[in-house]
Amino acid sequence: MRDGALARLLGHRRGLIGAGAVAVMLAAGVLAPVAAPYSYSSQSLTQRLRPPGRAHWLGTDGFGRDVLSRVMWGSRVSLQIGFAATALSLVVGTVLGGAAGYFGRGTDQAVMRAADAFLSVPALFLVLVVVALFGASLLNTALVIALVTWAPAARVVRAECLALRARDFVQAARALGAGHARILGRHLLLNAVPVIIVQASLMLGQAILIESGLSYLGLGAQPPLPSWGNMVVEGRQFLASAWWVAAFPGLAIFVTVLGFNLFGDGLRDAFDPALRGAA
Amino acid sequence: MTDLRSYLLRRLGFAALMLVGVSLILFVLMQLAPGGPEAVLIGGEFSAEAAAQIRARLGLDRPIAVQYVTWASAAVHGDLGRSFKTGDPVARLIADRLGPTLQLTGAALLFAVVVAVPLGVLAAVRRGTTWDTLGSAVSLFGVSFPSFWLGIMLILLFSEAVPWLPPSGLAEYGRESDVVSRVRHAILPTLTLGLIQMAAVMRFTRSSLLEALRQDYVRTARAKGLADARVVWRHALRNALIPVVTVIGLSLPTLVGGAVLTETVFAWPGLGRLAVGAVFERDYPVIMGVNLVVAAVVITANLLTDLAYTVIDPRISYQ
Repeated sequence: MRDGALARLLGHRRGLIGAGAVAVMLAAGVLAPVAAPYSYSSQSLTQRLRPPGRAHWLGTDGFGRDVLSRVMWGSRVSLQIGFAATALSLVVGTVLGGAAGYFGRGTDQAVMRAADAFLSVPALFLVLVVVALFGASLLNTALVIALVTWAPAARVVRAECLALRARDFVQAARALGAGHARILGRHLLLNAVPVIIVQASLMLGQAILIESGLSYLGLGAQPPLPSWGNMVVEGRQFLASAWWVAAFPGLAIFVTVLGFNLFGDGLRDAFDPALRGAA
Repeated sequence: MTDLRSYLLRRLGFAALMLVGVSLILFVLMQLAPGGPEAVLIGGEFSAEAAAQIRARLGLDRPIAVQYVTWASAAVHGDLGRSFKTGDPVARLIADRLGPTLQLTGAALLFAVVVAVPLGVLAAVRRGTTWDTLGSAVSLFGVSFPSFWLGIMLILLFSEAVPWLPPSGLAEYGRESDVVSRVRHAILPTLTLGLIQMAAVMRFTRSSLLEALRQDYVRTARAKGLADARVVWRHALRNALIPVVTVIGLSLPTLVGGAVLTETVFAWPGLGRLAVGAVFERDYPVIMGVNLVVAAVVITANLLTDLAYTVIDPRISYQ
């Protein structure tokens, strides 16, 4: 953090609420093995579809499994895939976007036209192609999310590098004989880090939404491994009699994604107060 | 006028280029698939000799560029192959499902614009008030809701708790021509997709109207004593809507992509459900075909948005 960005972030109420929501969901996932009140897979026919109460805070599902414990375990799947996909997507997006912004001309044209093509296929349809061809697995889920989210990241990084490229310190570095790798890595990308971090927070939310959508369709994490998406789809059939089975895992997705979005907004305002309230 | 014509030509060329790009993405994915393109194009198990025969018959032993051109030109001529599962031409399967998807996405977009633009205006004009807070809450929630869950919660509220609306399907069985029945079935899916879509439009209307309200011509309009409402609606909003049209165009892929989940939740017989079903059947030609068609629809819609833009804004420079 620089120029009091941390202080501004700490004074940003919505950003802090977002950070808090994310922290709670992260803690739930990390602590699930020790803190979850029940196992995520232990079934009990006598405890089927119990409403939320003292023994089961969020009730039980159609197999008598504790919904709270499964929501906690489910956050591991969502967050792991979210982080893995975002990291991958940012690496690809940063390298390609940085190269496009720095080298310009042909490189820029090639990268940006490819990004346009990727952006013109609706993400979920493209995801379906990849899952059909390569199968559903956690690794493939992360890869496919990266495949459909690198393009916006590349655009953002490119725009930042384009703006930085013309600045005096970059001209000075070039005059001093710095090579492409040094200028791009040290002077452009390092200065683009705040933008990349903001992008990361917003992308995490997107990645988690796509992951949950895929597991809702039955193409993400496979049962009995609980993921929020497949818990919602299991709860769908009991909607009339046991709303809590579908409601709570969905609420977990919503809170997590909202948290990342709020935190991302907070980060953007903290890094660049001039942008506050814009867009 | 020549300016406009060359702009239109360039824009058309760009759209065609995008479609080629999408087909290249799909073609490359097909080449990378385990078992190679013959597995994708034929499906099922086959012996080594059979594989060689198939390769020769399909021309898979020819150079890869030739293969791409053959595949793509067949697609251009409407030949998207046959479904592994049913043997039906993929083009016909898609034609049957395109209507419901266009109806759903069109209605959702209409709903989103009709609700989001006034909300965005309110948020901008009453900046810093409850309306503004409400507006930003709506747009933030919109981008954070998992659409499938929103759909299920709407079913819970409006079909289970209060049995007003049917939870799924396009119409009651045997009453497909009944307009009232069709509208009732369309309400929840449209709301689901529309509420999510609203967020981007609202956010953008607000920020671009705020920008417009800072312009000199708005100050002039105020200075000459025009009523506030007239300044906002007649002067500022008309200019603010130009970027909003762009954002609608840019968010089309999200809208159409959202149809995959919405159609699944509501058993809506559109392209999304066709594609999801095909994934489970490993019905590759159907998945490939749906993607090509969906991309073509999005690219065409984007082209139309851009053209609308040139009509709305006479100052546009054709760069």
